[in-house]
Amino acid sequence: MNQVIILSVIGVYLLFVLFLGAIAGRGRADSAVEYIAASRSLGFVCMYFLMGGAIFSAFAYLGGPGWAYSKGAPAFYILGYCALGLVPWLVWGPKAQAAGQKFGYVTQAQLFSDRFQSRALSIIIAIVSTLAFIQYVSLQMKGSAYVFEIASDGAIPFWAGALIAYAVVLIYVFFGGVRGVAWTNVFQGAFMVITAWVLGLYFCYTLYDGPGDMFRQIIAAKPTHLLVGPGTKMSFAAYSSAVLVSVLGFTMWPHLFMKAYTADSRRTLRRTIVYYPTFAIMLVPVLLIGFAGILQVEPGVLGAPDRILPWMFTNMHFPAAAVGLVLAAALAAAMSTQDTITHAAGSIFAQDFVSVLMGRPTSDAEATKIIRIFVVLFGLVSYLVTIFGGQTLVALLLGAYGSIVQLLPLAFATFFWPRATRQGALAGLVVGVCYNYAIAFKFAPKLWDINPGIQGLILNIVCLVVVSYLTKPQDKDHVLKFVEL
Amino acid sequence: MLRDDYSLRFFASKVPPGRRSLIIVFAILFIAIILGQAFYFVFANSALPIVMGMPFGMFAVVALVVLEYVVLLVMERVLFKDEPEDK
Repeated sequence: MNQVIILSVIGVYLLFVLFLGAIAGRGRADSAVEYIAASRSLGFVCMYFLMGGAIFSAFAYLGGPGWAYSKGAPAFYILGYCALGLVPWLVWGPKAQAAGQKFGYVTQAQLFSDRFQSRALSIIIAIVSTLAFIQYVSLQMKGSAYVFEIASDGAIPFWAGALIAYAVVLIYVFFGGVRGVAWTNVFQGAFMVITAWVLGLYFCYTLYDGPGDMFRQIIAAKPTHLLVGPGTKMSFAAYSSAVLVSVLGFTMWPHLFMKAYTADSRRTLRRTIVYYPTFAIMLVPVLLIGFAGILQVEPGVLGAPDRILPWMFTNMHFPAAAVGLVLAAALAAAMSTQDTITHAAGSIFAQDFVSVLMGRPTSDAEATKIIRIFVVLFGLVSYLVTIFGGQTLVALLLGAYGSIVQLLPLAFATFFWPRATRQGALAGLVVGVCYNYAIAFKFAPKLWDINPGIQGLILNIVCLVVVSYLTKPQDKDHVLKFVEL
Repeated sequence: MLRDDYSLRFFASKVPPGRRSLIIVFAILFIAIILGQAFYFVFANSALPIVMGMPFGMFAVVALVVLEYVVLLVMERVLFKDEPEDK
């Protein structure tokens, strides 16, 4: 009976999100700029939750407590990088926004390929982005699958849970475009934040005498759990490089970068950045839930650490409706990221791959059609990776960051270094991405436990600089128009 | 001459010198906060004391988040208070 109530609450929630997302795009122009960038008209509230929803994901809501539970202090890195993620955007976000308005870009690759006058760059960025997106969306689907599996007490298997989340997101991204994503994220964001605070503190005060008492008991039981470094679950080098690769790579995610084109003004964009650290504060109680579980369940009983949040709610004798609401919030966290990325993946494939290969700009009708087809295919591939992949949520995310951070030198060179050339940009990007994947697939050693993304980034920058100086500079007037934005 | 034209440019030519100095000050502050987060264990790799219900390391990380938020608010007031809406 309890499972029926829990699943009913989740079902109502999914229907509401579906309705909200699907109607968002109604009555709007059927153009690529509307579908991809909401006609550059989103205000502060939508932008805040759109960006917040992207980070308040399955990784944060399920992977964060999972890390707090299984690794301890290394989970602090999530707070640090979530707060700082948008700070680098202060440097190039407003410039990207201005470039979008001035030159009509709707994707990140359009900006870079125009600056470096390279169609190959556009195609490479589209491929790199799509590969990283698959890892990221797979992470969200995995989170959704855990929610359904636990909510139904195993009656809905892992594969079916992932499939349900995929189908719901697919429908409203298909029909609503970025406006559908934004509206659902406002609702889902507010819902997640409220449930995180109320229930995070609830566990600390019902299972223990408050957070202080909880941490004292953890220290007594596991003295090194709240530390990093030798003898703990994460080395110093791994911690620092995880923070750095995440902070530097965060705004390079094409789905976040291209949101610069959806803001209605520079001011909206800036205010979004200024208020963004509040999302990190909202993550504190989410971690408390993971810490609260340490003395409640053995890892062998739990299975995967990422299950700790849903496990806590289903095993603490809450009313079934409350459990349903909490699991719906966890689902919201996963879906609010999955939708943004699915939408971006479709847009990037249409604009940066198909359109470039065709050698001509696609019409609005063509572009929207291609985006929708790719949205379906992309979701399908991610779904298969979810079912057959085996990594934890946070490990999946860190792997994806390693390739995305390789776009950072392109952003820097576009806006600040006129001497950077097409050959330098291509060489740096290809070397950085290949080196990152070489470490990931164990063809190259992981030096000193430093994140592969950071190692690839160093090589990337060296190649960009050296090859640029060895090749002929690009037209001065052309490159300066990006510097002078 | 060519070398100068293609050199690194951190500011567009329209940005006045006084504003550039302010931007540099804020940039240094943010870099310090980022490094503080990345290397928090240098000064706070300890579970005790418990501060505001959090182990000391976690408190340090959260305090840096709050500091960052305050610096961002100050930056907006100082750098952009007179900027017109640019729809």
